[in-house]
Amino acid sequence: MSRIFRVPELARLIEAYFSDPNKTLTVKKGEKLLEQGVYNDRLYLVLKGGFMGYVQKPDERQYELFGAEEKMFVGVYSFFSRTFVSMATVVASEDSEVAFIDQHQPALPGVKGNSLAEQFMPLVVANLAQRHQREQELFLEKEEMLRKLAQSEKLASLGQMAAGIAHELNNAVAVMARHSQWLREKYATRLLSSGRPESEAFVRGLDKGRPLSTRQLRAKTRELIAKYKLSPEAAEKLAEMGWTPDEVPAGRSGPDPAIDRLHDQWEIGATFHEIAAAAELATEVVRSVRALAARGGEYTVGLNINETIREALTLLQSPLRKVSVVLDLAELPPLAANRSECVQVWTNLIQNALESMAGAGMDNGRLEIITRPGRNAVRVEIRDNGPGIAAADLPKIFQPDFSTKEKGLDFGLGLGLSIVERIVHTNGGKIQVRSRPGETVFAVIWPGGENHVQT
Amino acid sequence: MSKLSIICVDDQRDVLAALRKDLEEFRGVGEVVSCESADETMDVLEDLSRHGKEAALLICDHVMPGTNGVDFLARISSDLRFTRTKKILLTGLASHQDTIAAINRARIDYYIEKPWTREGLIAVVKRFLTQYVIEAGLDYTAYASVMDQDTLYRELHLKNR
Repeated sequence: MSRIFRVPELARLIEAYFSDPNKTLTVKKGEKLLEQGVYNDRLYLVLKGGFMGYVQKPDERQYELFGAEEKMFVGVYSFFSRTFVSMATVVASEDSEVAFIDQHQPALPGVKGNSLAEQFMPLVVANLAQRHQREQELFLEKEEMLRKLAQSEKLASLGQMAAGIAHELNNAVAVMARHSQWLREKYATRLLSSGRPESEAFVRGLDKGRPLSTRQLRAKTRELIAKYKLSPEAAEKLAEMGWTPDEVPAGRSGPDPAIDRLHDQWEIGATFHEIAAAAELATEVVRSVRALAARGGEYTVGLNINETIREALTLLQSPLRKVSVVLDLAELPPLAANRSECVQVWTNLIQNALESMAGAGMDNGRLEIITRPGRNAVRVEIRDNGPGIAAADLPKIFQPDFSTKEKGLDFGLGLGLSIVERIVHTNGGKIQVRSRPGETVFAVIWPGGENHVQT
Repeated sequence: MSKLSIICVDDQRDVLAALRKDLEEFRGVGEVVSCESADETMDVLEDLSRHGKEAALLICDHVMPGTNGVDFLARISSDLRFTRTKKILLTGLASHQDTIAAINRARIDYYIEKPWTREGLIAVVKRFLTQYVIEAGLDYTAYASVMDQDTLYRELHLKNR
């Protein structure tokens, strides 16, 4: 019920003036009650149904001005301003009934105030206030819509930019990766077929890279110097290769030049190892940027969410090596969902968990993924035992510009979780998060029974 | 002649190895020490200090787990034991704010962007080793092979004025 009637005075006014059965009209849906710029000396009360008021601007476009539901007034302006010209075209939005009075209506006794104007004043003000409030609500709705639009445009253009960069980088990375592999294999074949003892050092470098930290290396060097009376240079080189003088191939523990020759080959091997690792990393970064930029795509009917989780795990193979992964994947009903969107959601959530654990320098990181069937939906939980999200940060984590990361790694855009939220929400799903130190859980409810198809 | 210590700090081992390779020509007159974190570098600096030595040059990455490069260099800057040590920030990703902090708080001597070039890196290292040698009152003729002639001329000129 309209707010006006909470005031008894107004209810009495309406009762007094609008209960004459001879002064009612029926208006069919789509029919005009009033026309902009045309004579009107009546004040209408909507008894049943509803109306929309439009104004036509000089640019010929129609603008929605107001809506009048049951127990609201129409013709307020033309009636009370005494211009008797309607300012808007008012059309019934459904089959409606109205009661009316006209300009010849005398003031009735039993209502507070002497003249009609005086009696109707509170009603007019209330009505105008109501319209004003409605306009404000519309305005705020539009503001919100524009804000969301701007945000999605920002994300879209970032995505396009990322796709462009990924494409350019892909070629460069591919050339470096393939050429260095060729060079590595060519060199290895030559050296190994030469049968020189240095080839063992080369293979060691190539296979293991640099397994010791700089700290371990310094300790080992000191140890070698003390034990074998080596020069610091020779000791450091042996330490890097992970050998003691007794273990050196072909018993060449001898003079520094021999160690130098071995170390040269070891260094070449280790360098190849690092080039290959760096190329692999670059390839992975490019791949994930492309995934980030990928949009839309087809709905797969009969999609198994567990499969999409396994795909995400494959994508993140290398960072996942640093934590223990526990999978608890239940038998799930097939869903109608977008495969690449699913993969992206899991990838981003897993990456987020990994980064939080890595950021805390944990060496006992544990990632747990649990799936459970629901009614026409699937529930996926991604848990980590990282340091958790600060309570103050929790409300902000889905904002596109929010990141706790110390730059680097994730292109510093802070977009990961905002993309997750957008995808989950546009699919009609839900995402919940709870976090305390040592346990953070992101739970996604992914809807999409066989009949659920997004438009 | 005591060797000049050049300390490289980066959390990535392959980056440290690449830096070492590029700095090979300083091996004769200096020693290149690699560290994987700010804490480790602090240990090395204190160890040198205990032996009455100091680092001539610190080449430090910014984005590292634990203490980042700028915060670490700021700590070094305010430590009276290390005032003569030259500080170079080597980074691929520093925000505007980080850069401002690097200049104001960490009072770095030079900023090198990743990826660096060997020639560029060597030129910068020579320049600051030269400054260090003069400021520390060492005999620059002993380090002639790695001195930057322009810097040397300018520094000596300033000193003798």
